[in-house]
Amino acid sequence: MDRWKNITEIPVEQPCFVQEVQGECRLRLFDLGFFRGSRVLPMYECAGGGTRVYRVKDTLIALRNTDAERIAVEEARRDG
Amino acid sequence: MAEQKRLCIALAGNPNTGKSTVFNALTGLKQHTGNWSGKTVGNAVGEFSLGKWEVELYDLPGIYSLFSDCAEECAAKDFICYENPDIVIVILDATSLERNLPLGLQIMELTDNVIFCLNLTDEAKKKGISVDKARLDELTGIPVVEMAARQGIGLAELKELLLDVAEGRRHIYPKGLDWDSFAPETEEGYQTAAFQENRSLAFLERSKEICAEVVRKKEERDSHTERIDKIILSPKTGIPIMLLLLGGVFWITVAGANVPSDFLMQWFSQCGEVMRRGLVSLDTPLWLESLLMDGVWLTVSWVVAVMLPPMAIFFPLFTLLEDFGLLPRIAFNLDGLFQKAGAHGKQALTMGVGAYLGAKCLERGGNRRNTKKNQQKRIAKQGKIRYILHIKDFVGFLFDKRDEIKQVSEGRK
Repeated sequence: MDRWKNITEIPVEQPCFVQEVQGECRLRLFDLGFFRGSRVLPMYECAGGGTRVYRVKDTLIALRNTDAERIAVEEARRDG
Repeated sequence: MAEQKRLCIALAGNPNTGKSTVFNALTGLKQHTGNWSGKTVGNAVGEFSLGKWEVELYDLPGIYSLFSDCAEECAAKDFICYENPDIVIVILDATSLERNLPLGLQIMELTDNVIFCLNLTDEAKKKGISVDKARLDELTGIPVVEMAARQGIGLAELKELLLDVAEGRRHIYPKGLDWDSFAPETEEGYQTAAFQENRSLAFLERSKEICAEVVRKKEERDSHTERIDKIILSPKTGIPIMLLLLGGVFWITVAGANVPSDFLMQWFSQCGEVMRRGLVSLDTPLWLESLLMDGVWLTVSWVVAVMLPPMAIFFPLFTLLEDFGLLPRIAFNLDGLFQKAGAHGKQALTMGVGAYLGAKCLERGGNRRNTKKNQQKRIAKQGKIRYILHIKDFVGFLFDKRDEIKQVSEGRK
């Protein structure tokens, strides 16, 4: 639990595994692939910040930080 | 029996899986298909014959899950739950089976007569993804039809399977989830958020398990797209390229549209002259002639000549951008800045189109580069003069000065 971080804080190209998702749009995030055990890879951040693109379940999904900060993840090893 | 029996079949699935394509192919109806999610709003109904059955086919809007509250998705959910279709065809995207399967698994809980249609197999092949159809059938208990609806592959097989199920030759025994594993302790427990979460997760986990066995991928990543994305999506290089692209599209439209616009304007005015002479020779009253020529014809010619060429160039170019997947990337690039203004990145696209159209109108309205401007001015002036005359004509008629006015207008022709 202590190693859990906010997905918005994970540096780009650092794979991580989703641990917990909170908030009202939880179920929607599940449908997109952000649920416990999913491997997520932050890929890009847009100019001006505020939105990032994540690779999850073989798709690129762009999430605003206001939505993404509900996702708690644990960093994986580089080859994880 | 001579009379035909009726069958009610529904097409369900995630957005953008080709449901409408399958619908069109089966019914022959021209239902508009598009790329935006939620393109099918409300239910579309079509009919086709299957053996001695008369089938009513419902194309439901795309949904990710039966448990969501989204308004668009409720229509699909309500149909499956309350209208009791005889067979539900679930269209699955072969390129992202894990995301598509949970809906299929949920529908399996509601009805036995489910068929899985594995669509977009042509796309999957290009991406190096293969799905073991037999194993998927085994694990879920649902018959699977492989399809590439755009090419028309698999439709005959689907019809055959539908007939088998309808006539009772094929029975389906879905292997559903074990609800005990996530059922709540009490009756009230069904209302809690925790139960809803567990329920959704149960379907997602099961989908993941099945796909781990059934889906095989050759490459780890789509390297081609990724190389392009590195350039387009990075802040430093992305925005200049995007501006270049959009600017290029607008420039091509403006430059390309001028010549056809002029040509069309000229053609319209020439036809207009011929028509006017015709009307005059028929002795049409001046007010009618003016209404038709200076009113209707002039307006139509201006609108078509000014707007049609740019639109004919702009929209195909824009669609090309969309087909390359550039529009969401543009929206993403701009979202950071738009957020700060309290707006959304995707509004950049509508703003851009709106701004372009506005600029085009202004440009044409105050056009000074047009070489045919003299001729057009003359026509416009003539029109104005005729309008004034016709008002006079009308007024004169009221005051019984008709003969006088008619003399004047005949003199000016």
